[in-house]
Amino acid sequence: MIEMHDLNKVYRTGNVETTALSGINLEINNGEFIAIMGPSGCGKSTLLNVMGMLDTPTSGRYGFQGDDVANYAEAKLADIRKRNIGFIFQSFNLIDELTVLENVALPLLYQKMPSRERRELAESVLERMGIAHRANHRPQQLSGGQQQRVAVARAVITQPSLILADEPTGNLDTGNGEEVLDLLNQLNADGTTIVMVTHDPSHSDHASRVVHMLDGRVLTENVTSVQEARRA
Amino acid sequence: MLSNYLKIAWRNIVGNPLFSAINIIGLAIGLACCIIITVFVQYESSFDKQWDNADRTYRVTRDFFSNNLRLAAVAPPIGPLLAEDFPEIEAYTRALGAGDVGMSVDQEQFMAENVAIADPNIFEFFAFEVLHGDAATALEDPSNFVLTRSAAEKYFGTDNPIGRRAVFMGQAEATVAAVIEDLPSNTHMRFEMLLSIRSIPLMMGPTALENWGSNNYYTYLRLPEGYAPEDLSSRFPAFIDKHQGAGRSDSNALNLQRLTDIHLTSNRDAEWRENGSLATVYTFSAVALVILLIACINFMNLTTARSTQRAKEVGIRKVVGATRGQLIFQFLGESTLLVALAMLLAVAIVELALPFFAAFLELPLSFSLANPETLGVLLVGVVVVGLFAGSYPAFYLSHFRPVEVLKGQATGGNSGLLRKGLVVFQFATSIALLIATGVVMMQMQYVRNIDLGYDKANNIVLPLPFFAPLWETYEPLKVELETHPDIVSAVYSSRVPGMLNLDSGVYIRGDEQITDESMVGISDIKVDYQWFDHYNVEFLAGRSFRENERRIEMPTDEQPVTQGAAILNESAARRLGWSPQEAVGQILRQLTSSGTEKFIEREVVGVIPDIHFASLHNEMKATLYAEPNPVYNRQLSVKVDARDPTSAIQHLEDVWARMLPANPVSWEFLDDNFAALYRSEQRQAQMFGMFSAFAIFVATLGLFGLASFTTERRTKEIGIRKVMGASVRDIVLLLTRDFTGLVLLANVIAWPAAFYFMSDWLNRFVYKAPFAEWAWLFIVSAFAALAVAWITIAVQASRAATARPVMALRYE
Repeated sequence: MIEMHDLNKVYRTGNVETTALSGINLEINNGEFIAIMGPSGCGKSTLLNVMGMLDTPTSGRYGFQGDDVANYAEAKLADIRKRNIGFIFQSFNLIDELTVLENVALPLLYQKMPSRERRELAESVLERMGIAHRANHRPQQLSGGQQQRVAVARAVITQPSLILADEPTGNLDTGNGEEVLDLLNQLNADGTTIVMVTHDPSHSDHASRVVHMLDGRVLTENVTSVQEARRA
Repeated sequence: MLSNYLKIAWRNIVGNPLFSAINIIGLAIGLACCIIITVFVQYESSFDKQWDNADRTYRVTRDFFSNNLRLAAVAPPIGPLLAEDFPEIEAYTRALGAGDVGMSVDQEQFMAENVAIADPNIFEFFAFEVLHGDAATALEDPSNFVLTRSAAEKYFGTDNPIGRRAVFMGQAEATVAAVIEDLPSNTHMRFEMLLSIRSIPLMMGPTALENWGSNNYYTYLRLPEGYAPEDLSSRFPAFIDKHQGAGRSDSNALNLQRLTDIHLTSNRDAEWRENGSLATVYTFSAVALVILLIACINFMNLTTARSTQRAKEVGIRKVVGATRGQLIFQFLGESTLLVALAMLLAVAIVELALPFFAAFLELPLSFSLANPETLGVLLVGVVVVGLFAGSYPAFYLSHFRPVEVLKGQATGGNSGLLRKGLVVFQFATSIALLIATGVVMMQMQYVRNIDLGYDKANNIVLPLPFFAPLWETYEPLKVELETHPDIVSAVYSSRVPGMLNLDSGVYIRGDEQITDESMVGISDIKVDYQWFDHYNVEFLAGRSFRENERRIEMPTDEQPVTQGAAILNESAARRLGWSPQEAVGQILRQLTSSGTEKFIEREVVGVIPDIHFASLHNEMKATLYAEPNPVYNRQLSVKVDARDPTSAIQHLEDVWARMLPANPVSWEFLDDNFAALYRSEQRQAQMFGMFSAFAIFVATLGLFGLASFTTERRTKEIGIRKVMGASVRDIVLLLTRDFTGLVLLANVIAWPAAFYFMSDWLNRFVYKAPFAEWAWLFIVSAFAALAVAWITIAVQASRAATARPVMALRYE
């Protein structure tokens, strides 16, 4: 699904160059659950942003489902993005002015789905996530765990083949964090590829593969115990 | 403390260049407009205040009810008789505006402009600065005259021509007895030469100054200090009945106008010069204030819009002990500092723009910072505007509670709603101004294109010297002119189109007795027998004059009834109770000033439609066209049929110089005269256009700022939407939608307001452009405002929308 070859990302601020990603080589297959780990500032989020086409690499090759998208224009990237990728953020990134239902249905709006279908689909997803009763509330009226479940609902509503989660449990307590991870596991079990950035070694246990990063480079790729267990 | 505030204020101004620039530029434009308009208003209200006792000097005016004449001048006997009947009148003086008069100095011909003929004591009333000679006694002698400095230089080549002689109208000789300084521009009077009123009986006959029908004398009275003018004017009707005959006060009246009120409030027939208008002064003052208000609203909106940026500062200051009062003081200081910077820019703008504005209005407007009073006014202006613009933001910003702010919970509250209301107000006023400008221009267009009922094109008009010995020359002059191949025809008349006609007569149907009820006042114009052909006027009934109907005799004691012909316009026929067809063949009796026994019997030979003889400000009057009479050959119309009239004009000047050698020629195209009739409206239209442009520009600046802050505030939302698949178009639409609603709402408010005010303005015209001709302006203005708003916001929105979404989310 994803192939990165010698991928670099350099930020320039005035005369100062910051290398965020340096010579990244990474391959992700359909159905994998990848955890990306590393200390703050090591480039995890940048890698995820590039992967999600929210940002473009400075150089290198980025193959997504066989196309080299590294040099695609923003409009084209937006199109690939909205058909294939769902996002989950640490800070939820829900729109305060919209209701829970409207937030969840937002991606469908941009896929030009008629409003009735949008509504029905969003309701069914909220039902699945167990927060249908909060459909007409505003995000601020929800707990962190509930907000993140709304965000997950929004990420999955288009049935993307890839979900990118940037520290999805970072703002949640342990209980709520576990719930979100369970949701992700469930999605993975249903065939969705998941890439998750996390700080927490215990969360990485849910992944089939862990990518360790330091200073913009990929250090090691561990096959986790879960996978070992599966192989066994 | 203060220096800390100033430092913070300065950093806020420098640190937010967009915010500061929008506010300073907007406020500077608003302030500059206000300064310029103040200079204009000051000038307009300074008229005639310079004369001694100006506050108790009054001008006598006269109204005639039957033909709705409101004259600025009165008959010559009225001044002396008033002084005789009412001993409280301290003094009176009179001046006859004689217009342009031909004059020769050492054989050289001139057309002396704006000659006035005045009582010797005019210098007592108006203390003109005397440069040479003794002005006080100069006009005692009927053969003396007084000049202004420029006139002395123009006609005598020296500023001291005392004792030099000039011949007026080829006949009357007079001597320069005094030279006065040029008239100040801020007076309602206009002349460059004063002849003695004592010359009038010599020139126009011994009884000329006793003629109650010659209402051409501006007459001024000086009343005692503290005397209420109403105490005098209330006795005017009795005065008229006493001198003119019982009951005559029903047909005409005298009034008093304070000298200093003449320029702005008097808009009478036959004013000495075109006066100003209080309505114009008010209108432009209001518009300038509106522009400043729009700029102040920009400040309020932009300040509260970015309040979240300042909320933290407010919270921290409160935590460390600032009171709300101190914070309000701080924020007011900031707004005042900003306004002070705007004022500096405004003064620069005024210095640059005022000369153009003054040239455009043809007024001697000036502005000088050297005047301490001006500086004081500007300082007060800074403080007042600073406090006003800063008031709402100061109270709003200082209300934040520190706990909420520091926890990041402070929200815009309901300031969003107020902000929207203010934006609606800004756009509503801009749209209304835009519509107003359009309506004024449409009316100008309408007036230019209206069918006047005659053909004024290609006409050259010339005033003729009013001097009896020349009358015999006029017939051959016409014949000579018509020999030129490019000259179609030349006709005489008492007035030419575009002129206000003040002549009128009293008529009675031939089949009725002479009673007060049967007497009808009708305007009259004396015209040449081919006048109607010349101006292409069609006849509704009957025919034009015939050659043998020219020159009728005035009634005398020996022959009390004389015969003549008349052509009526439709209104006049109707006033007399006839349809156009019925009128032809009827007899009218025209009473003369010498009693009811002597009259002219006129047979109505034709009826023409009502033609727009005067400016469209005036209603078409019931008018009688009388046969030509050399006494009334005051104007010559020459119709030229050539693409290039140069040769015809050359011929005209040659013939004139040969046949009227003592009188300089002066001609104008009738079309130009007509354009001049509407010049003040034309100027108003242009000024309106200019001011609307400023208002819209300042409102747009504000919208630009507001859109940029809104976009900034919604950066995160835009990012999320983009991640969710929103296209650039989706985002731009999202951001423009809100403002579109506001602009549409502004239209809903602006339309009825503009309709109301402009209908009112159009009522000043007797002939006004119908609504159907300017209705489209409403739609166009709405689209123009929408387009401006959309472009402004779309620029901001597309910048945010095309940024990579990660940029929007990064600031987390």
